[in-house]
Amino acid sequence: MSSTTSTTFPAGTMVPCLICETQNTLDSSLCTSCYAPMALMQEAISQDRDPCIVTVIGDSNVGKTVFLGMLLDMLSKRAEDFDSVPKGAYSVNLQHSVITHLSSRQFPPKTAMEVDQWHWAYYQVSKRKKKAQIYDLVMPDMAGEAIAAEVASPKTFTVIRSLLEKSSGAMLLVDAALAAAGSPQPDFFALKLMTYMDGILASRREEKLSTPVAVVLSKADHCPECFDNPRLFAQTNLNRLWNLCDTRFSNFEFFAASVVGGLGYGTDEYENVVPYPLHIAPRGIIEPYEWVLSKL
Amino acid sequence: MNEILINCDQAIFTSLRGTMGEGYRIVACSKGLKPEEKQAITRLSPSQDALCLSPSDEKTFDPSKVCAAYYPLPGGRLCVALSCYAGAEHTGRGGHRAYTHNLILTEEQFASCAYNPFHVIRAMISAGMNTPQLSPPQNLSVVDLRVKLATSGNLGKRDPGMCSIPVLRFLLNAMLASRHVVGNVAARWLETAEMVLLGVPGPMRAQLSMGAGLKFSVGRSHHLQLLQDATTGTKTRATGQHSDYIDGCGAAAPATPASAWLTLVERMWNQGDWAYLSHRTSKPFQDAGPESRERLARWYQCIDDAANMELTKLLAVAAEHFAPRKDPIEGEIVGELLAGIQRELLRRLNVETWPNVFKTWSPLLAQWRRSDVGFTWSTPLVEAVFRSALRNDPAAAGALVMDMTRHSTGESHEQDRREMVEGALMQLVKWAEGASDEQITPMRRVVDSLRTHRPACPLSKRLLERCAPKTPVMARR
Repeated sequence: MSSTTSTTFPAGTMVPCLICETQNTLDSSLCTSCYAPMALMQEAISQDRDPCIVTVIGDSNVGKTVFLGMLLDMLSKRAEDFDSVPKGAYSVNLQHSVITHLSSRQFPPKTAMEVDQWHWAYYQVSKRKKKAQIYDLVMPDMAGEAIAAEVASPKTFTVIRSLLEKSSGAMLLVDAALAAAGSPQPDFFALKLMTYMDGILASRREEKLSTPVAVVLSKADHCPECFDNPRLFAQTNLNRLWNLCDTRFSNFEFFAASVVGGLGYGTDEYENVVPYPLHIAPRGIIEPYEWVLSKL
Repeated sequence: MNEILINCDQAIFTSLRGTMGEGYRIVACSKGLKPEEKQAITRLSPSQDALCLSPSDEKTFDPSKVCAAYYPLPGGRLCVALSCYAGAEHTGRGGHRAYTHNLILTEEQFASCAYNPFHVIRAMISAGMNTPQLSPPQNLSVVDLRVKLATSGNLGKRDPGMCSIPVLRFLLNAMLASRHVVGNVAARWLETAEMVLLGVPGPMRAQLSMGAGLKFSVGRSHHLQLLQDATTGTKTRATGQHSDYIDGCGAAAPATPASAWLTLVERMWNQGDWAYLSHRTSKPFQDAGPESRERLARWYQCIDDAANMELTKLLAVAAEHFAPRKDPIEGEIVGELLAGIQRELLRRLNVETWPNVFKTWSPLLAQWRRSDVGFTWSTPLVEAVFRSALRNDPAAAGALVMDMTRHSTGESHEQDRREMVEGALMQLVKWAEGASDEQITPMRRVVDSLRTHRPACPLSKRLLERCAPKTPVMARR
């Protein structure tokens, strides 16, 4: 990280992208290579600290947007005695969208695959106690399809690879409801993602990966038993994922989480089943995050 | 109407729930698609709500309206994509599901479609590819597509809602410089895009990319991006990515540099002759660089202006273009130019006054003698001038024959020249034999030189005999 503390630069100064390190001109709003917002780097320079990137990953429709939006909102509300300061108004957009939609009993719209449509949050987070360590956390809300495309065919979305390479920790969301219903899809997708991360982050094949990975069993309200013992749930229902984590990762933990307390269902004009969140009852949202922070 | 049959690979990109996952991805494709091509299609295809269509607005929504794109793929093939909405997003989270049918063309196929992706897009619509297939087989077959090589009939119908000519010129200028340009157009993005694209030389189009009716995304930054956007966010994001931006609905277009090519295309836009514009710009030029384009435009300009040029100017222009061209396409256009000038000269030589026609004789004779190409091109004109002379001033016609007799045209055309001279002499003889003594008198001095140049020619003898002064007969006492 540059030791520059001033954000005033002479004309023609190039600034590296925080995610992929491509040099960009000062007036670029997005990185010309990976399309991450250049505001991240400008904030990072003004903080004069290396930010920690915590990446939330998972399959399409697993609940990444709702989880991340809710997490940021809870941090803003000083949940678990956390103090968080959004760096830049753009950081608030995600939680704003999620909470507004949930309040009107709707889920937020699907995250678009176009990278420049993703929400990025840059928060300064610390515990509300003296001399508590301050973390500058960067968390993008990525489209599950983009993650799937990158995992299936690396370099389709280079920003994802760059993000994971730079990540200090990750939260992998897995659809617990689907897994509990017997679908192998969540297990396989998570397995692919962890294999992809292993390929990117592992320096030597025989060494276990130390990057902390919190496996979040999302939509756990559909299968409350996973709150009792997430590890056991994973060993039973996500066995392939469990085995890989056990073999290749030294810092991993399983958590159950849910945001809505009850769902109603309807259909739209195309006969698609539309779920309506009846009330917000976040459970297990902060814990995986706190665990990742503790391992940084 | 020209029609060709192409067979090409295809891929469908949309959001479906399947056994292998859900969300936006290539849900079906033919086997010929390469991994790197799939990557590019995945990256560049529109996803959730990314089209400038508003199906929720029942009053303004036109279900026949589609969005389109074309872009080069890694490996050299091109993707032509047709997008529309396919109902609501299947997870029930709101928003419209984007559906894109992609065809993959080789460079040769693109060239055979006159380098015009809109021919392919129209063919895709005719083949029903704008109707979403939401349960496609995972493996699609190769498509056999009949492509009509005719520009859209809608192009001619420019209405006030369409971009002004200066806006089109701005967009075209950016395309020609291979810069990225985003245009906010009120509607009819496909027609506007085709108008702009037709102004780009054919082979150059294969190096560029275009999106019409797709919302702006920096990751999908095509060279030409036409969209409908009432917000200011697009402008900020586009200019932040060093793309040009123009509001085609409002502000006046910034000035564009003086360019013969831009002027040529602009004139044809104004005329609305899309087939002719396409004919002119869609040739397989070997060099479509700025200098070549200016040269080509000047030639086309001369072809169009021939009717308004003076006779001597026409000859001067023709004289500049007898040199052979290395590029066969340039040769073809120069041939068109020379044929056009020749046609115009022949028309005018028949109707112009003799003094005006006579002004062309000296430069024409120079070209007639200069080269093989010059001789071949000038011969009908020489004959036309001679006929005009014979009608208006036979003595001058005699002088022309003397000029033709005296000036050699080189060995390769010597026989042709002799035959021409004899033909002209024959016409002169016929005229002389029917003319009165009074009409003959001015001819005498002119044809006298035939004694020196064609002493043995029977036609010369006949002419000389007819032109010889008659000895007065003395009256006998």
